[in-house]
Amino acid sequence: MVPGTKITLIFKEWLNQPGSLREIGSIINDVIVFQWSHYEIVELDFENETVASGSLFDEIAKLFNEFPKEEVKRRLKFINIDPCDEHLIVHLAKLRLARKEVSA
Amino acid sequence: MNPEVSHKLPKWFLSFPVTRLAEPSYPLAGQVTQILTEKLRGVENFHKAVHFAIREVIENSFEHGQTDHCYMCAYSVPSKQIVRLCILDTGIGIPESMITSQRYPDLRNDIDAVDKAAEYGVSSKSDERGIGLYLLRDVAEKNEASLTILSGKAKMDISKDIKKTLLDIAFPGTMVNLSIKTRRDFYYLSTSDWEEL
Ligand SMILES: Nc1ncnc2c1ncn2[C@@H]1O[C@H](COP(=O)(O)OP(=O)(O)OP(=O)(O)O)[C@@H](O)[C@H]1O
Ligand SMILES: [Mg+2]
Repeated sequence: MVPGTKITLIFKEWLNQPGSLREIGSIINDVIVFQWSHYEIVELDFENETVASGSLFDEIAKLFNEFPKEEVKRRLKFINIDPCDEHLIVHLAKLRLARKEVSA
Repeated sequence: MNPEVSHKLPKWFLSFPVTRLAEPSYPLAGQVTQILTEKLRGVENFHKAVHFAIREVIENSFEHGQTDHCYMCAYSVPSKQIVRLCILDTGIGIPESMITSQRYPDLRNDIDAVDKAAEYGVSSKSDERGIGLYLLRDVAEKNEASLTILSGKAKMDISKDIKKTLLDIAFPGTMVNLSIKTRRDFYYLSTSDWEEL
């Protein structure tokens, strides 16, 4: 990973892929982790498209299972995101973090 | 919709007629939400909660129902600031899906199965899933809403309280009925943004 580097990924491109929203979310999770090995920051551009899928966003929230909370917050950024979608991701992240704490 | 029927609908009634869906069709949830919430007060998170509900329930029909189609209809009543929607499939049903997965051996009947399915982290597929019905139930419980899940012999009515009924005759599939009212302090999950997490 090169410090100070950033890549912006267009979210909409995944939404038209075949598969359930969970499966699409899981691919996005893999892509984020992969890009983190090259770039310090991964930015997802939602282009103001509402996603409104708990299953898909839960796959992104799973990053908190694998990486420390502050690292995920610092290295993953969202732009042009529907505020309700952002709240949904945060809600799911909180649920994941609480579960991680209980099982720790 | 049959035009003869549609012109008889009262003007205050915005509807999405019974439609057979042959795939989850992601843009559809957004389009239906727009039709339904057009004339309702502009509470943004209410619109998003309706969108969310449609997405999760349709997705479940295709993913778990083992069927290639489901049905949906919906309408809104602007004078009451209410949206009502119904999504149903004639698939295997929640009890069978939960019981045959053998992940929850303590389930005694169809009600146990549906009740369990609506808990956080409960899924017939894996330990790392199970948020769709849980979030839907959470939104229904914390708003002026009523959510009915009918599947097999189980009927669960969720609003501020929960009523569980074991039916004599099984419904051959899953039906989710949601009636939800908008209001200024509408609850839709978290209100914090990413930086505040
Ligand atoms: N329409 C349906 N037909 C059959 N079973 C269903 C249906 N809807 C839900 N279920 C059952 O209820 C369980 C819980 O559903 P829920 O949506 O909460 O979680 P999930 O779909 O498994 O995972 P997630 O929604 O987090 O991707 C499912 O795993 C499935 O067994
Ligand atoms: Mg689901």
